[in-house]
Amino acid sequence: MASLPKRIIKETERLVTDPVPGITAEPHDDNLRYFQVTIEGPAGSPYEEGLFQLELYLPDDYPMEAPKVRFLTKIYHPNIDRLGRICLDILKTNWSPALQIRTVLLSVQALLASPNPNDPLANDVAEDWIKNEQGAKQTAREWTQRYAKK
Amino acid sequence: MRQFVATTVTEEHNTGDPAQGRSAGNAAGNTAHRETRSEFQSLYGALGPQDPALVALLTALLPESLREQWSEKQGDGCSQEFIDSLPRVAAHKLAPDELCAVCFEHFRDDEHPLVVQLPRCRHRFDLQCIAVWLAANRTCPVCRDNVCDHQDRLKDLDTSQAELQEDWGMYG
Amino acid sequence: MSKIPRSFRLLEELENGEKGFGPESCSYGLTDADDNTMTNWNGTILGPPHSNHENRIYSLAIECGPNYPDEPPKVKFISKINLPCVDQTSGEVVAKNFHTLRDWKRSYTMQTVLLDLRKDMATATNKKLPQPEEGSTF
Repeated sequence: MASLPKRIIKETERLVTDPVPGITAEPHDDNLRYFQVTIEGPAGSPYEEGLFQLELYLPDDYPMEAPKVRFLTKIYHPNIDRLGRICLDILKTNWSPALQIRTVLLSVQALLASPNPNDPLANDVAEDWIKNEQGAKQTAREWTQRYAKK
Repeated sequence: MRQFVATTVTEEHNTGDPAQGRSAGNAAGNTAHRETRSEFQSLYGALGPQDPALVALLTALLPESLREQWSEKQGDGCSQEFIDSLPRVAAHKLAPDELCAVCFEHFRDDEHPLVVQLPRCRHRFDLQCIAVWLAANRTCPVCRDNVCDHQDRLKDLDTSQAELQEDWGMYG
Repeated sequence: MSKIPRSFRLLEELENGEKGFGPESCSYGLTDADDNTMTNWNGTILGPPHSNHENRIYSLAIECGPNYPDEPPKVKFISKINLPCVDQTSGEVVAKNFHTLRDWKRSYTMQTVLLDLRKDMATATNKKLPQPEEGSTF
């Protein structure tokens, strides 16, 4: 494998020595650009008490290109689709090389705290969210209980 | 390739109404052409990072308009001219703990740092780092200021001034 | 060159398939849009022109196992086809008889497989092979 850029080594070290509360990210032994991630559901959100598994990959062009991130745990959220893909501007058009793994994961955690049904990825969920927010949040709580229980 | 040959054969054997024959031949040719083009396109995309020599060769064969259309980044970066014109920051003006927001290295860790400053927001980066970013983007990585808004203004500067700046950059 | 993990590679393939960037002569998609392991896919190949396959549409089942793309997918014709690399009872593409699966490379994709199968249908010997009735399945 090609040598790992210094920046990635630095980021990885800092994720271990100075972890973000509620978030873990560990590289796989056989692929140091591929991270196993967990995010705790934010307090006060329908995802509270849930522990969500994600995967993150730093492509060859990182940091010129955004990391790739996906939920592995099923989640009911208007900006996360059935395959775990996330609709978040900084992962697409609004990426900047000054962002990093920890800021990306914090943004994902923030997205759990404030879903944006007006910019949906999962259209059926977004529709539910707009029509019946209380019901949608209840579904999200049930899914958290069912799939993301700690 | 086989399909192109087939098309030619169709055309040659078309002894009926010449106008009709030609248009039918062209339609088949277009389909074959489209197919080859999309195969080419997918190869161009898939092989990208793996075989630079082949990609360079393929790229040379492509018309420039298609190159832009097919490359993932839509070529909306700043011009090389603009990047070259970014003012350098002299080493002694850099704080000991100042770091490049792209590579996360302290500027002063490098014995001869080549650091530039963006014109309006004044954020500083290693030239090497920011050049790659600005070649495909127009925003400051730190504040998202649209850097190239200034591009036109920079062009309007009178030449002697610009040359002066460039010289300062080279030797300053 | 780093190794893109299986899931992100499959998501890329999915997006390319959805955008229809590839050639019109073949297509593929997830069999079950809810399956986040992205294991089972279906594909189609439009029979190559100037062959006994012309104007036929063949459907296939593609299975990308846990070690894809380090290991090739399992590919099976659903539509009946007479082709040397295809097992005539199961419809399976026999890896040792089909170079793309036999000499698999990590950079190959499902599209590579489908396009190469289409090329295989169009070879001088294969294009003239008698074919089963259109629309029949294995």
